[in-house]
Amino acid sequence: MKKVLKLIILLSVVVLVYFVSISFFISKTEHILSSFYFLTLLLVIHKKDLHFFFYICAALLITIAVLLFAAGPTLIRYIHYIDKAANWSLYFFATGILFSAFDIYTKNRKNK
Amino acid sequence: MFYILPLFFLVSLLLSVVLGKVGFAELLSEWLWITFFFAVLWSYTKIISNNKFTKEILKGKLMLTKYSKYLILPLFLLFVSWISLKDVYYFGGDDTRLYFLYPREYYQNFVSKVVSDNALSNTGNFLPAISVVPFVLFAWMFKTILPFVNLQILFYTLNVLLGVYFFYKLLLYVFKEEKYKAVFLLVSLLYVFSIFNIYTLYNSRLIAVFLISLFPLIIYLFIRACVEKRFYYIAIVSILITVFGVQSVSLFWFLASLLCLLPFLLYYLLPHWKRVLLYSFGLIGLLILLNAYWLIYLPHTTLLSRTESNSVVSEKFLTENAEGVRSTTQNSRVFYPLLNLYLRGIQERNSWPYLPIYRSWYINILPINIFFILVIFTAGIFARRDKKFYQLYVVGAISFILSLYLFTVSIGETKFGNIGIESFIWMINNIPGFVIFRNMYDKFGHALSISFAFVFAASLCILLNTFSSLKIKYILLTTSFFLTLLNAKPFLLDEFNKLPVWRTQHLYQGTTSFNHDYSNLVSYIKNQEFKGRYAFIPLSGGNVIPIQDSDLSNHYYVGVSPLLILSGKNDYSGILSFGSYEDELYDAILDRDYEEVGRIFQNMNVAYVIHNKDIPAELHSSYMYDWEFFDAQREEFMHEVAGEKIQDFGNRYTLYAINPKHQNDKISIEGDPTGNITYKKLSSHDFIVNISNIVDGSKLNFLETKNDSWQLQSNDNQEILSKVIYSDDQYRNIWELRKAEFSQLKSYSENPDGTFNAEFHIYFKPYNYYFPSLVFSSFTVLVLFLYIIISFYKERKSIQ
Repeated sequence: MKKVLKLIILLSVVVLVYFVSISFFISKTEHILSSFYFLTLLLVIHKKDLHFFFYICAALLITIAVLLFAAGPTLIRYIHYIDKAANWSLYFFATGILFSAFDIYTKNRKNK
Repeated sequence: MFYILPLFFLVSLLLSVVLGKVGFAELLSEWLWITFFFAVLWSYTKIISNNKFTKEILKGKLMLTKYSKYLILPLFLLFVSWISLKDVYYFGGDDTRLYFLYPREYYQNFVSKVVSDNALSNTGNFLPAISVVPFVLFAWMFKTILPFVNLQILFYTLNVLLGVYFFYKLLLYVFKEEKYKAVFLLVSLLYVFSIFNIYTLYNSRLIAVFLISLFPLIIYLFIRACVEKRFYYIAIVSILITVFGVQSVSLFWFLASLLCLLPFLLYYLLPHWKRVLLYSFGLIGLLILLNAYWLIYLPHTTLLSRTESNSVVSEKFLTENAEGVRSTTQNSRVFYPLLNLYLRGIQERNSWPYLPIYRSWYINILPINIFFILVIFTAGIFARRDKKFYQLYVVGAISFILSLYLFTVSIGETKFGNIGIESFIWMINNIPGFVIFRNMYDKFGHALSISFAFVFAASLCILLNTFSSLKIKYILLTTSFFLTLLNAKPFLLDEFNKLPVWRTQHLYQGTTSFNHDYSNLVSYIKNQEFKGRYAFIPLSGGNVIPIQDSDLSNHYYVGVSPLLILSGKNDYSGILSFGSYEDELYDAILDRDYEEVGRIFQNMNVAYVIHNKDIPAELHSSYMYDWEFFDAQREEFMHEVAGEKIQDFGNRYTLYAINPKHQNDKISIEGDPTGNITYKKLSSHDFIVNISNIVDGSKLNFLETKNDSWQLQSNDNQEILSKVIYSDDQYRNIWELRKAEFSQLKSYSENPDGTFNAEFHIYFKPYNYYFPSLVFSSFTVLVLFLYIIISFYKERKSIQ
């Protein structure tokens, strides 16, 4: 019963996050990436491990690399996806760095 | 084993060609080269990673041993000497850059002036021209000692080499890790040859280019001063800033870089915050003392102008500015700068001159440039474990993100608008002074290059600390080095200087000297009696004119007219020269209302017309002269504005007096047919005037940009309290000549018919502060030099 309840809550969070993304962002690529972002945020807070941000950054970069090679020198074919992936990799990175800065700040305060 | 993948791509590629799938084959060829590159790298690494030399490098031991020091210095001097003997200069642009070849003339005829002749071709004076005097004197000193050397190439080369050295020293000091000297040297190369520096500072070739070496040096000295309690470093910083115009002509780029490095500086200097505050105030104080000689003229510049049209807080300005930011950033995509490449959209939309190089080179290396950001992002995964570099990495990354945003701005597209763009506009409209960064793609270029290099250094150190395998370390360093070289290739091979002039096919910049006809014209004008300004016809659409080189037929000087610097006589060369008449004149020319053009020439004190017949056909419809505008300035136009022909200068130039119909005088009497006036220009700030048979209440017209500080003075420097008459004309000062005030003068005499005669000066009053402020600033320099020398020797003595 507990497991079912957990699953329902999780699904509700996913659906909620997705609808928040739809109401805020424009393209479908961004709906998916932003949902992913908010879920990572929840995961990082829950697990207290900010590495997830950087893993996803690296993964997004590899996606960009593949898209770049596939698109060829003009880049026109996949420019929309490449740009979105680059934007969101930067958001993930920035959030990761923000959390790290907070981490350093709290550690330094404790040391004092 | 490593070559299986490239071999597979090669076979597939051949098959595709055979089957006629050329497009697919092109795609495969890219993959073939990439996999081949990595295969070669991997096998090479295998051999080299066991090499003693490599191990030494990775331990940081091979850098600058006692033998290499003896070798590097002569090599360095030999290289600089060799490169400085070339005779091609890159003149032109907004400040002509003629201080590299004619520093004496640049000083005497231009930057030593505080009014009237202090703007080349009347292009406006955002800052007092006198602010760059220290740099011009510095160049003059070098030119006197080394007259045979090409100062421009010498200074630029030293700037690049010292940029590498100072950034290396900064990193070594901040990271405090001797074993990563190779990393710091590599990252210094990445910083100096960054595309953001190439596109903004190197290619504009303004004095701000010296920030490449100065910025890391200033930060290095400031940090050391604060950490090691050495105030004399602050004194050195204040002198460096003053000499290279960092506080004036390079200020915007400097502030942008400082703003982006603030997270790092705050973190690093926080333990010494009291001293930092004290030293910062000390530095500001010293800068005020050192720069007093030009700061007093700031109220007379457009920077502090209070007129409605110039005001940066006017509603019109704010609306136009917001529109400008939106249109500039609409096609900006963050992924180009994220991959260490310049923005593409803005280049394509405005057909930038560098676009051919961008398309043929940079776009092709774009996929492999992902390596840089991959290293930075991957370091984030391991950073927390690294006690030594974690904090530096985080503050470096904050600086990087900040500069990336401020450079690109277009980040965060939502249904409610672009958050990045709207925030930037809000900052411009609400943060006092932030408006100086509105050309963000230019101002934040250097900031991005330095923060990118900084966070990359921290990332490499973290990864090298994390991985114990020599092979991985070697791959990281080698790939970084090769990619840095690939990114620097167009700059190192001088490809940017070989590009034709913007929107032309066969005209190039890079000149040895001006053509003989122009030199003869300049010599003639130099010896002409002063009557008023010279107008180059046809006028350009902006304020840039072409002058052919003496030896290289398709090479041209392209920039603001250098006539003032070379002859001491000022001119108008384009529409922008005409200030408040700009729009009116442009419309009059296009409407072919030449009578109106003549009237504007009359009001703007045009005394001579130079017919420039040396404009190549390619420029007739370029950014300099759009075709319609150029076509409207032919024979009929010349017939209306030009009067008596004075002299031909070869086939290129003809000098005419202004058409008598539009005759004008710098100083004249209005509304008094009996009155006579003669005058002489003693200097830019002082005109001596003789009036005779003047009726009480006549008006004196002085054709010069309107300024309340111009005043009438007696021969013994007493102000004549004449009534100033208000006029809408921004290029006219008017006084009412009243007998009651003039009768106090020694030179005054009255005629039987009631008219009067007198001799007086039209004088720019703020010039009174010229010598006292110059002496004050020079004295400060002397005291600072003494203080630095004494402090240095004291310190050495205490060490011994």
